[in-house]
Amino acid sequence: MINIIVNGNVENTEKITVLDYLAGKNINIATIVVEINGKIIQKSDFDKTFLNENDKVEIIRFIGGG
Amino acid sequence: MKKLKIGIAGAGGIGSNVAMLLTRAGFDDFKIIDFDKIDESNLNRQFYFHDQLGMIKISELKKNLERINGKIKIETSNLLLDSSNVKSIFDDCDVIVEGFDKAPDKSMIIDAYAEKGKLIVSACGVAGLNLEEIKTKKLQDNVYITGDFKSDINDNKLYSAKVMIVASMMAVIIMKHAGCSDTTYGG
Repeated sequence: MINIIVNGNVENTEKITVLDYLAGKNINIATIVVEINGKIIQKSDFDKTFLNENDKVEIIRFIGGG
Repeated sequence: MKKLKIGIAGAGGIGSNVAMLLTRAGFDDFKIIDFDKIDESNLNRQFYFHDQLGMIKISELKKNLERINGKIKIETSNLLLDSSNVKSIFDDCDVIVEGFDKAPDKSMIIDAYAEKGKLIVSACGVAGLNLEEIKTKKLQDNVYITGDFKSDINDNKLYSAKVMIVASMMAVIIMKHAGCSDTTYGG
């Protein structure tokens, strides 16, 4: 298990991919942006990018209106 | 002030008003993309007028912006952006203003352009009347997202009063990026 910081909160998780992490949280990847340690992760890389100890993760969930 | 070409993705409440605000600030090079026509329901917040109902948004926005600056350069494209055509359409722009209605489209623009290093300014949470929680989040070095991050159009009405505050904050991010002077003696 590893510790990561998601939107400012410490979480304990398996060392899994971003895609698996989001699926486990039931987060719809169509409407989000994910930044890890100051870099935005492309959706096509979600299944190749593994979460690492002390990663600082920001997940922005877009909502409608413009 | 740097000369920047501004790409506008979606000419609705955010896109049309950011374009208007930037035109008034002296920006004069735009690429505007939208597929829609002007509807009566747009007039509560978008930069269009009653005598333009039923007309193509991009054509009328061009006319409205030209009424502010007759020498402005505006490239328009009447196109529904999707994952197949979004990838390179703003490659000739320095800045991208995300002005879409739907959450997946907002996400799509950032996914397509964040790694290209352009300044991207996006809106998230522009509905309702709650102004206190409007903020800007910066991601990476080049992506700014402004709004209250919670007021959805399914639960909240849209009003120009709030949409314009978010649009103004987005315009100011771009103006600062371009080096617009904050003071009268700054040139």
